[in-house]
Amino acid sequence: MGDSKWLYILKRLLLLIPTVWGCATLTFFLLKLTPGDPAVQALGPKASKQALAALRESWGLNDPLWQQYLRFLGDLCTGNLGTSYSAKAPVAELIATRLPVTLIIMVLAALFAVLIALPLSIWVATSGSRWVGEFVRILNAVAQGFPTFFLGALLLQFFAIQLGWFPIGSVSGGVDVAALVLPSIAVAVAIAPILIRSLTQSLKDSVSSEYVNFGKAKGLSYAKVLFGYALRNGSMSAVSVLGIQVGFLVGGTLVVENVFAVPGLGQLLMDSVMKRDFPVVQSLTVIFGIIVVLVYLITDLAYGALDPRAAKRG
Amino acid sequence: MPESKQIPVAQASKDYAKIKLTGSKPRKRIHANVEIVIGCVLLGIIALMIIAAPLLTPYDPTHQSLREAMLGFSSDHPLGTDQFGRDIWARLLYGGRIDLFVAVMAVFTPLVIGTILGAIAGYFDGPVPVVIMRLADLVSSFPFYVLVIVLVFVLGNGGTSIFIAISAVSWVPYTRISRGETLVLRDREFIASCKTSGFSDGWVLFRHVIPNIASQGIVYAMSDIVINLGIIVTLSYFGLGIVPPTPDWGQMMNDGQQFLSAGIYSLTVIPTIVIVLISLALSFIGDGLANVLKVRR
Amino acid sequence: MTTAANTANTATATPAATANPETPETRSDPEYALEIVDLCIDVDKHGERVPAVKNLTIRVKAGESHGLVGESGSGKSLTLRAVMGLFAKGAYYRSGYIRICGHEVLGPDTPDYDPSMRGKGVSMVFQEPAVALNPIMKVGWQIVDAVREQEHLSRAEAKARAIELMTSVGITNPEDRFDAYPFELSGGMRQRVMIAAAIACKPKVLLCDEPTTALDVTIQEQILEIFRDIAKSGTALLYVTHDLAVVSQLCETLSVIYHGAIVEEGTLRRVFDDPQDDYTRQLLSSTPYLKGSMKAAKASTKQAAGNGRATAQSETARSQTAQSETAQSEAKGE
Repeated sequence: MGDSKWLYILKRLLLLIPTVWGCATLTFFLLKLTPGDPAVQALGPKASKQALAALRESWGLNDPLWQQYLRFLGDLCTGNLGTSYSAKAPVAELIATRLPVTLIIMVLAALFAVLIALPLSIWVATSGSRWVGEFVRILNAVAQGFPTFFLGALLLQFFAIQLGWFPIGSVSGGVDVAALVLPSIAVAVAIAPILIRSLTQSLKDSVSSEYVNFGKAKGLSYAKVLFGYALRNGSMSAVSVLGIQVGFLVGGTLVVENVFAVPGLGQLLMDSVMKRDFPVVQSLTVIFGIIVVLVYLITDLAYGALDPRAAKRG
Repeated sequence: MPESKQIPVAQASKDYAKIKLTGSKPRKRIHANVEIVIGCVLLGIIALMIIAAPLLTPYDPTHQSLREAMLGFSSDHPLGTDQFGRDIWARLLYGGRIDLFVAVMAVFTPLVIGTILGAIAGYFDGPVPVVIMRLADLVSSFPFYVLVIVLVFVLGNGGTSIFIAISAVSWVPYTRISRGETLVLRDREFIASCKTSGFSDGWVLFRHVIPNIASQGIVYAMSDIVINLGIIVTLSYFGLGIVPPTPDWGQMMNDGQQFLSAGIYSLTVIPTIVIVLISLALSFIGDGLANVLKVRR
Repeated sequence: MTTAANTANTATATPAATANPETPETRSDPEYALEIVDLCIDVDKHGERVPAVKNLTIRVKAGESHGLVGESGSGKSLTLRAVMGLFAKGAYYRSGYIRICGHEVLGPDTPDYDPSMRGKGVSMVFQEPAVALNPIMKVGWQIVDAVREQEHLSRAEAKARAIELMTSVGITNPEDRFDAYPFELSGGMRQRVMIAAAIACKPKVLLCDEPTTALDVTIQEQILEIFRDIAKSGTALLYVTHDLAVVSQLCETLSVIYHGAIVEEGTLRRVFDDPQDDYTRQLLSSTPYLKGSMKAAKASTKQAAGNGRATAQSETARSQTAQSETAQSEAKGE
């Protein structure tokens, strides 16, 4: 039993390889479309012709496209992501120091989103009142439309600057989780509506389901039926929705990192786009792609753990 | 003889429509329509005001006048002025033009492209559908924001770039939705009868399949407009979007943000309220449409 | 037989009660484990509230099996669910009483069902074990759940009780089956699990909502045997079905429900031999295999089911099907 599970995970991990390859390929050719000469961007417009030519040669920009492509793939496999134009540091190093911050925000945001969505969904699914449903629906629409960066700015203004409950600004030397709480909440508010919708629906289905009826018939208490049966079954949809929406989770993280000046991958990406730092943008795109497919995998595994039927099918 | 062949087709699709109609419960549909009406009225008012901007304000949204900077609400400037003395009411009206236009266009294009691709992927067998769906998988393995930002990096700032970037990324959900619907529809009798009576695949696809599957994509499009509006405003806020001096809501919020600590909220809150109202209106329309469609099924 | 005499009482008592619906007998009769008196339930239909169950009265004694026969939509399931307090959306209690062992769970004073009798007082076996068992929970724990909610047992004790219960409903290898998920079991096995969970707290009243409809005939026979044993142990059984053949094998008394009202009531023998109502006659004639054999074989209803066939033969057949069922579910589990 245990062996087959590990074999399954291994199989899934192997299946990631073509996906990552696809991500890398798409990124490579996409960025080849970028107008402008990378050498000029790296050295600045005032650089001498000789220096530019030398740089182009050393980067292999004069080679045929397919050679550049193969070299890119080879470098990617060996972890050589190139050197940042602006920071003059290896891209891999830049990414490695910032990745934990971004991951912490993503995990915290997912956690907060569940903490926001759960009580609201239970409220809507169990109240049976139409007005409760309408109220939460409008709340959802407001939260969904509210720009994440502005919510972030407001949270920063009130809770960090005025009330001083949370540390402000960038995290230098080590990760200060307290400084990541407000950004995570801003992201959580943005993704909670999607979670609330699906969780409410599956909870409603669960609450009126025959197995909940049978649970009541067996004499189980209301709390037991709600939390042990309805919520447990309903939570599966939340897991899959969180997995599917990981793109938005990353997007939100990217936005708030810039608002809160948190040194994560999102800030790095935005910075590099502004500074037209080609190697960093290219590597980050691939890294974000890998994060997403890994989250898809984790979601699938979690779903399998929650739903024995899915585990059997897999 | 196409004339005689057309009869069973027409009848079949008419029957299909009839089944859909008789399956609906009148009470539920009225409630759903109320939602659509509220949403459309709200959205219509906002859209009309934006279109009729020159009639509603005498000011040029880009005209700076430092002597009139940071004015409060007054009869001259209903919503005051910003730090450059620009009229906020005018900037709000004119700024909505590009934001809403790009948001709607960047939904319409992927809706059309995605629906057609999905219908093709669902209707035919062979390598073409496989390629379409693999490409969809590939695009969806990047976070939406990241890919749009990278595309804006490639294409440069500006409304056209944002439109192309969003369109290039957001066709995927429409393709998935439309493929799923087509797979169901493909086995329905009236499609089979079209196929057997010798109509070309293209004709069946555009005349019968796509009209029947488009509705789900349209419902999704409502929430998609909100997402697009969000990313356009966000990009502008970070200086990657609409290029000044063209007014837009994201820049307005960026301009106003520095005054939050001074306790001046109107510069940032006013565009936010409009965005939230649009989101609310679209959510009403989307939910209403979804209810109508669910009942019809 | 005493049961026949008792049910004759019921038959005579009920018309008296229904004849005067304004003053229903509010005093409970300790003789009955389950009393449904003048129950009226409304449902929403096209936006209007229409009566679906009309002045329904059924009384069942401890150890007695009562059949409630009717077609789908006749209100029989609605009645059962009312006893259980499981009103579906769009169904409303209007008037009448439901008492479990003399305790009023639904009535004018308790219009919001009192759930305190669920489990120990009344429990229910549903029609579709595939949907009534929690699909993501091991079946053993679904029985343990019920045991532990009412009696404060340790996990190990509760598990032992559950395995005992599983054995009592004819589940072979209960220790192995304990950790199975519902989808890994065959339909018959699932139904046994549900029965085990339903009787876990030894309810005084067991409601059965067509529990054998989804099963094939041989397994149906085994399940009915389990219900006979449950009734023998002193539980009052209210068995809802559209199948008169099943009623003839299990119940001593029956009511026929049509459009939400009881049209015929009495002992099995009386109703089968001498139906008073046209609808009952139609029902009987539409169950062809009952017609000839019943009149002869129904001398003793209890024995009829067992004696109808060669006992030894059916025993072997039963163990064979049990085995094949085991193999089937094991194959599914693989």
